This record gives sequence, C-alpha cells and structure tokens, in this order.
Amino acid sequence: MPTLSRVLQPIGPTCPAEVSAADALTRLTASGADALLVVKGGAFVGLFGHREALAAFADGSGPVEQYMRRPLPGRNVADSLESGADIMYREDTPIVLMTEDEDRQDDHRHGFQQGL
Amino acid sequence: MPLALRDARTVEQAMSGQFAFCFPSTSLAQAARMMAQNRVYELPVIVDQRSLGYVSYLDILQRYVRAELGGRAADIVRTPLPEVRPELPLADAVRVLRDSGRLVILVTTSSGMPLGALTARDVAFAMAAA
Repeated sequence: MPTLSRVLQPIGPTCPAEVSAADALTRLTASGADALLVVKGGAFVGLFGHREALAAFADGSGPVEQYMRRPLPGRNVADSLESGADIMYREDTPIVLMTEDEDRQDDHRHGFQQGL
Repeated sequence: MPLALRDARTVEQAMSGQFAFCFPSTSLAQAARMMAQNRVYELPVIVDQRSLGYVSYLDILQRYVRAELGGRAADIVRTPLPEVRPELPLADAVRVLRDSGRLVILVTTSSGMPLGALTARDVAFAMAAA
C-alpha cells in the first residue's frame, strides 16, 4: 500500500482566525482554493471551506474561527493511503492536513491530502 | 446586516445550469475522473431525466483503496439527493444543503426534471458577490 506522501499537495492559502467569516469567504473565493487553513498563534487551528461557509450565510460578521472545522483532521505522510482514506471517511472531510516527523522533515513538512 | 436578510436572490440566480453528473452505468473510475476534473465531491446520478441519488467521493475513495474500482455508479449510489425548485429563496436552499449535509442539491422542475445543481461552492460565490 502506498503512503500518503504519494498524494501530498502543497499547503493552500491561509487566513487569520480573527478575520470575519465574510472576509474569509472573500479570500476563499478569490483564491480559487477548496478551503483556507485558519491560523492562530502561528499554528493551524482549523479549516474553512465551502461547506463551513454555508453556516455563515445568515450572518458572516463573526470571526471565522466560529465557523471553521475543528479539529483539523491530520495524518503523517508516512501513513498508508488506507489510513488517510479511513479518516476522510470517518470525519467526512475531503481535506486532511499532513505532517512529517521532525527528523524526516524536508521542503514539504505540511500539505494537503485531497480526495480523488 | 445579516447576509440572508439582504439577499433576496433565488436558487436560479446562484445555481449552475451546467453541472457534472453520471449515469448508473458510469464506471467508478470514470466517476472519479469526473469528480476530479470538475472539483466536486458528490455527483448526481441521473436516469431518464430523473435523479436516482448521488455518488460520494467517500465511497469511491474506499473502493480505490481496496482496488475495487471495477464497479458502476449504481453499485454505490446514495439516496436521497435533495431537490429544490429554481424559484426557492437562496436562503431556504442553503438550509436544505446544511440540514442534509450535502455539498450539492439538484434544482428541478415540479415534475422532477433536472434544471441545474446548487453546490456549496455556488453558494460561497453568491455570498461573496453579495
């Protein structure tokens, strides 16, 4: 079984947790990406995609961290493709944050795994 | 002001008239390619101009991992795929999307004939343009 490194994609656009959901939505649509990684205190704390944006339809004035998906599903790049598929299925998420052990880090320490 | 209160748009104004779909006989490999090419995660399954349900990327992903992509869309079709009318207020359609947990719903005539699809991406673009 191949590892998740085979389907790794570069990290997508990010967004501070403090900005409004409406502002995050503008950034999301302008980026053309499927989701924004929400950053707080230098760490990735959540994901804001089209599904999460639906919740902001009634009122998008609150901070994006109120609407983002949290916790962010994650896996190690050395894990099997099967384990990635498993967490995507269980968490019903098309995007999984991938990390790498510190002693094996290179230029793609973090990345996305996207379905299909 | 809340977006929904100043948004009097209807589903028709936000939906995609052209949308990706498959047939029950579509192979899972082809359905996966269609999803990837169209950047969608759920694909309506249409037969005789009626919705049979939808195919989810989650089920295709599981099949792929098990090297079982030899099946057809009919083998993994999920039901129901919610349907809305084009004249429905967009806010109501967003509620349908949220409550159903779907990323796509079908826009149909009163007789069930598909006119288009409304995706979470469509809604996001409509919200950003408001």
